[in-house]
Order: sequence, then structure tokens, then C-alpha cells
Amino acid sequence: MTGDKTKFAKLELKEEGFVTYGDNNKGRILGNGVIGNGSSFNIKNVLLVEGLKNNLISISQLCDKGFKVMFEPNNCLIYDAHGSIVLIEKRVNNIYLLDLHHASFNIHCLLTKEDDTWLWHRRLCHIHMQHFNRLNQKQLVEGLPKLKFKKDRLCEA
Amino acid sequence: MDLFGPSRTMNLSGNLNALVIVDDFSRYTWTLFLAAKNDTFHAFKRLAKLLENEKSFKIVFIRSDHGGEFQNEKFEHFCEKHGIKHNFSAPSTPQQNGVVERKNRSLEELARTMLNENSLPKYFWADAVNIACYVLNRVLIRPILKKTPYELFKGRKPVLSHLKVFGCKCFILNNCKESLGKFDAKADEGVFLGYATQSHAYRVYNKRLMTVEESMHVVFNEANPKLQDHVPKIADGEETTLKKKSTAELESIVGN
Repeated sequence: MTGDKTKFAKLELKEEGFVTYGDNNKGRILGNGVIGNGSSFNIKNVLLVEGLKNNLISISQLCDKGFKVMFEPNNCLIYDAHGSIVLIEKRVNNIYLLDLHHASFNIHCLLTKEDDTWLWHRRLCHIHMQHFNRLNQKQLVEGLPKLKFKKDRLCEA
Repeated sequence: MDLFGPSRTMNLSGNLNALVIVDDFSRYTWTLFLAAKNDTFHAFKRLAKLLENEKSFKIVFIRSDHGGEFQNEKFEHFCEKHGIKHNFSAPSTPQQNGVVERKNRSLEELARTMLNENSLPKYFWADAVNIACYVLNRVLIRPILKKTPYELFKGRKPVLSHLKVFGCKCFILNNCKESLGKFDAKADEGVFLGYATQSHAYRVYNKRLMTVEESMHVVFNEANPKLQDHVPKIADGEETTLKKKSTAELESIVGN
């Protein structure tokens, strides 16, 4: 649950009822969405609740999805079904804090890998991808690897 | 033959204008950087002499627009002396000078892309244009002839294996340029700017000394800066700091 609209990667606004807090106060549910970067790391089914100051994650729902959660005096570990660590949380005073900014170390390795074709695209001053194939086909240059050049995404520059 | 500029920023050697000269048959291109437009004649004279020596044939004709840098006494005199026919496009009709005008556009677009990709300062524009010209000479394919300008002009296939990403971070070995202490850093950080014309080396901008130098002992880091920046940016967005209370509390909260 969270109270901040800007955290969502995907959000579907739909009033679905209320959440009851510990002191019997109620919070209105405004929507339902996904938090994460869209591809490699996502938390699904996150509720957007009116006026909620702190973001909460439900352990029971994590367990329902097959994760295992282990609490220790200093931190809390979340394992996936295969037994490898997905996230580590730190304990600050009496609260376990989950900081995705620092915990997402395994995402880094996934994204820094770059394609050879895109490297050559940047080396040759961003020329057209099909031009590489033409050069290779007619064997007009030396030192260009025989790859299949294809524009599979947009160039960042 | 055409001149573009003045650009708003000087490059590091104080040049504002670029003179672009294209060979009409092979489309091999030369870019010369000038501080002022009236240097055009000297630059052209030097290049003409070089080319005539290298290829052992004479320049037959040149085409340019009516710019004051091309249509003047010096040029007229030079053309008369060497028997060059100077062909002008019709007044205010750049279409008739299309080959070089289009080349200008290609060079500017490539340079702009490369400068913005690495968010480099604008005073590297000349290096960006220069490297764009260097690469285009080697990779363009001349229609019908089906060859690159480089092959048509020099008679051999271009080699691309030494190419690097413009503006990438690199480390320049400090080999005996100045005496180093035992535990001083052996390399300086730099920015890759291009390929040296007169020697087999890379042109790099040394960030510590703030100078452009030529060196062969350079290690490159060609990773895409945009992709690297990307990761923390995503993480910033999801800096949710999902707060977590102990389980008992949470169960009572969610248990509605």
C-alpha cells in the first residue's frame, strides 16, 4: 500500500472500498497498480490509499506468491522459491526498512550489458543499422564483425 | 566546396568556421577548420597542392557558391595560374551546390548527435565534425559504383577495427611525459576526440592537464553513459522506502 501516486509504473484508478487500520480508522482505496521498472523488477497489485503517509508491504501476500521471509535482529531477508536472496531489508529502531534504491543490486548487472551491434552503431557515428549489413554483404570494409545488425530499440542519443 | 559557420562557440584552437571540400567522383570529403573566412584561400591552396602531389593529377574544376570567400581576386588569380575552371552556382541557389550542402548537413547532424550523446561541451564541435567526416569517408557506399569513398580515392579497402566511440571516457598512460612519484597515478583520465592525422595515434583530451594530446597508450571505456545513468534514475523513481512494520502490526492493518 502506498499514498504516493508518483511511485507507480502502471496505475489503474478504481475505487474498491476501504482499508481498516489498527485503530479502526478507514482509508479509501483509490486504485491498483504496479511499482518497479517495468521489466526486471516489479511489485504487482499495489494499492493506492488516500492519505497514507508510509508505504507498507504485505508479508502475507509475499508468502502467498511463494517468497520466504526471514526476520533477523538486524535485517530481514526475502528469498524466492528457489532459495536465492531477492531483497535485503535493514532494521532501523523497531521498523524494518525496505530501500529499493540500494537493494536492487541484481538489476544493475542486467542493464549494463550492451549489445555489440549498438557499440558499433555508436562507434560509426550512429549510422543506419541496415548500412552495416550492406557493408558486410559487399565486403567493402575490413575489421567489422559479421553480425546481424538490426534495430531492436531506439538509440538513446 | 562550401563553408559553414561561424559557429557560436570556438573550438579549442580558436576556429569558428569549417570549410568542406567534396570530391565529386568519389565523394571523399575534407573538412578544414578556419578561424576566419578569409583564411579559405590559403587552406584551399595548401590542400590543392597536397592532392595534386599525392594523386599526380591536376584539379580540373571546382564548384562553389558566390560567397565572398570564394569569389575574390586571389581565387581568380590562382585558378588562372593553374588552369582551374571555377564554376559558380547561380546566385542564391544553394540547390546547384547540392552535393556539398547535403554533406554539410550530414556532418552537422552526426556531430550534434555525438556531442549530445555524451553531453560534451560545445567547444568539441570541430572534433565531432572531423570524426564524422573520417567515418563517413570510410562507410558511405557510392551508388552504382558500390564502393566506399575511401576505396575509390585511395584504392584500398578501409579498415574499421581501430574505431572507438567519440567522447568516451579513456585513460591515458603517463609515459615519461613528466616525472612521476612512486605512488602517483600512472594514467590520466581523458575524453576520446578522434584519430591523429599525421601519426598512428588517438587524439585525446586530457582532463588533468586540460590539453588535447596524441597518444597510442590509451585504454577506452566505451560503455554507454546513457545506459549507466539509466539504472539509478529508475531506482530513484522507485525510492519508495517501503516501510515495514513488524509482522504482527502489519497483519492487523491489512486484515480488513
